[in-house]
Amino acid sequence: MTAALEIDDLWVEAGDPDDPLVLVRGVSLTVAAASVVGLVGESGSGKTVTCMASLGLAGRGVRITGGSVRAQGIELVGADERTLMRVRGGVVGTVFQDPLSSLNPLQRIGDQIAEAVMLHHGGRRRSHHARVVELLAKVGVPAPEQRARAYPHELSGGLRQRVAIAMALANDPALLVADEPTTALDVTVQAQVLDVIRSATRDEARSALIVTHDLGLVAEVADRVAVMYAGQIVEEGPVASVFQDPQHPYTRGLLASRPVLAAGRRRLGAMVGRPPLPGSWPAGCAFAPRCPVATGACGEAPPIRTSDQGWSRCWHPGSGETTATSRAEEGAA
Amino acid sequence: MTEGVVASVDPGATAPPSAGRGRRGRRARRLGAMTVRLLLTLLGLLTLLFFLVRLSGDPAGVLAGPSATPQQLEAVRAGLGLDEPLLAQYAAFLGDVVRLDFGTSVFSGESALGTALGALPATLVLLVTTMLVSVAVGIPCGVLLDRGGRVTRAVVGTSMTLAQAVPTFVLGILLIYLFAVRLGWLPAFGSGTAATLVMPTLALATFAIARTARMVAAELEQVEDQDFLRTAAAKGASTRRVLWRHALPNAFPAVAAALVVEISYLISGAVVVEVLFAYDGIGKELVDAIFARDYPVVQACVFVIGVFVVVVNVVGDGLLRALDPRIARARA
Ligand SMILES: Nc1ncnc2c1ncn2[C@@H]1O[C@H](COP(=O)(O)OP(=O)(O)OP(=O)(O)O)[C@@H](O)[C@H]1O
Ligand code: SF4
Ligand SMILES: [Mg+2]
Repeated sequence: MTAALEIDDLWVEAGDPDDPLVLVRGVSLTVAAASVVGLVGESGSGKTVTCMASLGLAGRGVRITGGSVRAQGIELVGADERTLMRVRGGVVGTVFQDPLSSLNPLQRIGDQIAEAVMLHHGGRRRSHHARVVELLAKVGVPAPEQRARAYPHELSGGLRQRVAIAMALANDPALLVADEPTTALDVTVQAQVLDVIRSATRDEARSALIVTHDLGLVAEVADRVAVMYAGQIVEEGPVASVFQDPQHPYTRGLLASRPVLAAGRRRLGAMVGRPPLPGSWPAGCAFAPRCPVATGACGEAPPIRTSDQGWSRCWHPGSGETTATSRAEEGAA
Repeated sequence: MTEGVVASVDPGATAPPSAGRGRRGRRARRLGAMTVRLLLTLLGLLTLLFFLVRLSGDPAGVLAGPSATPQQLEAVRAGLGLDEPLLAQYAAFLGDVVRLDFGTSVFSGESALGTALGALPATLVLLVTTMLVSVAVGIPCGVLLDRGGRVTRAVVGTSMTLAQAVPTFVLGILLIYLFAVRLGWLPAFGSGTAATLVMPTLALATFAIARTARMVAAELEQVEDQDFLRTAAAKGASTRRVLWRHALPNAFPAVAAALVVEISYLISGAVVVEVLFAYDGIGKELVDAIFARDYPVVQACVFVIGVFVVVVNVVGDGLLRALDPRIARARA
């Protein structure tokens, strides 16, 4: 079966072409049919840029300089606008972080959803009213008939994000890309919106790529997880095995900084310092300055090691102790 | 698709559609404050006018004529109340204004206010055509300024700078020379026909077009990075659709606000243009009256123009609120 999304060695940069700022370097990521992938990593690691550049939605001045992105087998890198328009909204539905700013403040929400349908099915916006109401009901918006006439500012944050999801699902896309869909919401509402996303994916066999800081969210909805650091994916694998037995020290650090997950576990590798910004990524392993188990070898770009059903990018992969041991060995050698 | 998968409801799901008393009170206070501000503006304008007229010469001298004897002059002065203390004259003047009594034209003997009001419609027509032209040309120019290629941006940008740099009367003279003298396509001056409207409109609109274009470009740049434009693109909208259906409508309220202010400026430009093209509007009436020292008409014209600017600002404010549902709906 065709994968819903195949990102292959994607390179993205911004700024002056003669002195570019590299934002994403060689990201490869596959979202299989009917599977949900969580993309995690600290702020500035390039998660949003990866998603948006893939869909050609990154801002002015952001360019893809290498690699390929296929959505349902359709190549998007270098595609003409017609192809991109067909894929966006039709094959891939997108949900953004801030539901208020991502809705047009001057249009009724019903009209905005109807526009999404119209762009792929033709007709007039008004003729899609029934579908709009159906979509609103589906994402749990109460009194959808009336709500369709509301403006974004008249809805709560949770309802707005439901509207945004309804809009993304308008044409029954094979893939849902959601960039931190719950981050801007109240904690109480996050769980509800997560429910909506879960039903839109699990229950309808839809694939999804979900960007988030929330490892708990990943544990709940994702099948696989990709961990991003300094413009690269450093570890990828099934959620269960990555969370149980993280291979990359950065993944271990992320997990350790999460109180709920870390409870009862050794707080090995809780992270110090801040992630480096694009343009100041260390050579070799970019995580080395913060890595508790770094060695001299880490000044070279680490190799990719496959494990179980995933892989990681580290000289000393494995659990905390093994790494400590291997370091001791290296020191002895 | 499967149906109704999730039906839980957010607590406090919506703002109540009917706004509370607080909002209505705020609105009344806002309107009240605006009215007071505008009345004060009008009062200031009239006060300035009163003293300027008294400083600029002796109305009695004009009325009585150059051959009048000192006795005659004195009689006219007494008749006009000009022999009273300045403050008393000022109070009497304000009293007249409140009663809308500006006296009669020194020359025609007709009501000064009637003369001013009679000249107003022609000016309104000129302002309306000017606004239409500046919006119709200014918005596309603004889009080109923001979205055009390097060359387009340079060409449009330079034209706009030029349009703003050339004084209105110079432009007017150039237009007359070109269209009336050289080409003979249009009458050089006059009013009352569509053809006489063309050159005054062009002369007046050129500056407004440039300002509108710059405003549109600036607003588009503001709106540029807004998430909802990315959302529209993510739905499958074309670049053009994103621009015309989402970016421009959101840029428009701010542009409209600027345009309303622009009308106030246009009035002063209209004075120049009307005189230049002998277009019978209130601007020309005012200038003619000033040269003739027909003070009642001068005062009436300034008063009418002042009230017009005030009304434009009030209507403009209401229009803006109507354009943006975030404000409009809050009043319900
Ligand atoms: N157009 C651009 N020009 C220059 N730098 C950019 C541009 N867009 C993004 N960046 C930079 O690229 C880096 C990665 O940004 P990105 O938004 O992808 O991070 P992220 O992983 O999504 O972080 P967050 O969790 O904060 O959303 C950031 O440091 C950002 O400043
Ligand atoms: S390569 Fe070295 S520095 Fe990088 S994460 Fe692995 S052990 Fe740490
Ligand atoms: Mg992001």
